[in-house]
Amino acid sequence: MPRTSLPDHSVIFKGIEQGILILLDKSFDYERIIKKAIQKIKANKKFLSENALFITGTDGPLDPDEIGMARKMIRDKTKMEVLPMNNWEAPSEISEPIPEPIHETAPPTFVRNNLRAGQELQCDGDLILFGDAHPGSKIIAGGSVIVFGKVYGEIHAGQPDHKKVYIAAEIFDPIRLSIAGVTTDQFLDSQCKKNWVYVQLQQDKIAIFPKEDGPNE
Amino acid sequence: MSEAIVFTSGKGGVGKTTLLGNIGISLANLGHNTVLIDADIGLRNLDIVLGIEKKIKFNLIDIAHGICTIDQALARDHRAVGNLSLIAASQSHLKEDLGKEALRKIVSKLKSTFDYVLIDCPAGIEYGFKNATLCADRAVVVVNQEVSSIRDADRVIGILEIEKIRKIQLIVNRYQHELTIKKDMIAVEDIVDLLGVPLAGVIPEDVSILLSSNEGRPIAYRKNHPLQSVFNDITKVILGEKRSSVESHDDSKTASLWKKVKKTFNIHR
Repeated sequence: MPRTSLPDHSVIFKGIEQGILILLDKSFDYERIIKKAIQKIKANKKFLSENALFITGTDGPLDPDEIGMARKMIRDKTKMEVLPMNNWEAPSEISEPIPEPIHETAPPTFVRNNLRAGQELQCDGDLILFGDAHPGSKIIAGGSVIVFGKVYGEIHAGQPDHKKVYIAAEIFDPIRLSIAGVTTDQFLDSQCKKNWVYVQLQQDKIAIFPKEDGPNE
Repeated sequence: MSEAIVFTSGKGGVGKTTLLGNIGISLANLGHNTVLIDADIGLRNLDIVLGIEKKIKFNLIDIAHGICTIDQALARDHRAVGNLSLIAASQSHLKEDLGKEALRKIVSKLKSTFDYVLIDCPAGIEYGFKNATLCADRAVVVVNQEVSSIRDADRVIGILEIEKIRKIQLIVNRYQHELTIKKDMIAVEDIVDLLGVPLAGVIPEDVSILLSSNEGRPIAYRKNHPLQSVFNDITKVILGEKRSSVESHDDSKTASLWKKVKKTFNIHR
């Protein structure tokens, strides 16, 4: 009898003041729950590695054996350390799981042609375009965008909650630009228009760098 | 093998119809059986450009509606060296009155008789444009140096690519040399670079083209006019010759024009 996969809500990531709390639903098989948590941690490793991780159960604290088992399995499979948090109580209102960063999970999209006036290219994750984005075209990517060509149309990278994305382009003179929902009216100098540039957010403002400076990962 | 070539631009008023008439004459003068279709239903013009409006008895809609045969609707221009015929547009119908399948069948039948079927596509990207492009094997996109013309051409090329018309050539019409030198107009090389399709040729702005059309005696019929050889050279490129080989066949009269064009485009071949 094949086993059905666990529902997504069996492991919930919750943003808390101290970092990220991983909530395990113990109504399911405990070992499978931990494996599910490992999968989700791996899928969001880059994001999670910047935060302290804590673990507990959805209906109350885990016992010491459960904590030990979870910490060991997660450490072995992800090289990441999780700490017990047994004094956490769910707020009375329904808590929303933190949105997972789309650009971390969606596969990159490769496109090899020019994007012409009136054409729109949308993808959930990173986009690598081998071609030009002509005036009147539009790029909307959930992740970063790299263009091996010219950008003259609209270009939008990242979701509002995902600011660690960037745009890189060979020749960059877009008619409209946004990163994670932040737009700019900043005039690009001719140096930026004709050389490789990287664009990313710095203190919630769009910053444009010439190629030698590169993006801040 | 016969081919149907649609001449399109997106933007109106770039000189597409006049250009198509002259290219059609050049094709016929080179010995190719050529038929021109004015697919701009409701806005018939190609017959005037060619100066054969009095020969029009039936039109494209008449064929589509079974009122006449294709042969009855062909208006022949006997001034051309080879066979040059025109099927005119109706002046009293709408573009939607011409069914997609009807035009496809007409073009298909014409291809069995003629070497080249040139289709004058209406401006815009609506029904008339789609109807005309669906029947074509390849396309010639006509632009001038206006930004709006280039933008519209880019849109059109995108649609043609989606329609799987892979062979697309570009003609820059009404090229303004002096303004381009002063950088008041977009250079041809920048237009080609932006649109990313091969250039078939450049036709300079010349009032004699307009006057000739008004007289019903297109430039391509004027043997001593330097622009006649420009149209001939572009026609050869459309037929498959490379631009450089066409240039090498220039006679002394057109050579100065080519020299001017080459200098402007910074071509050093």
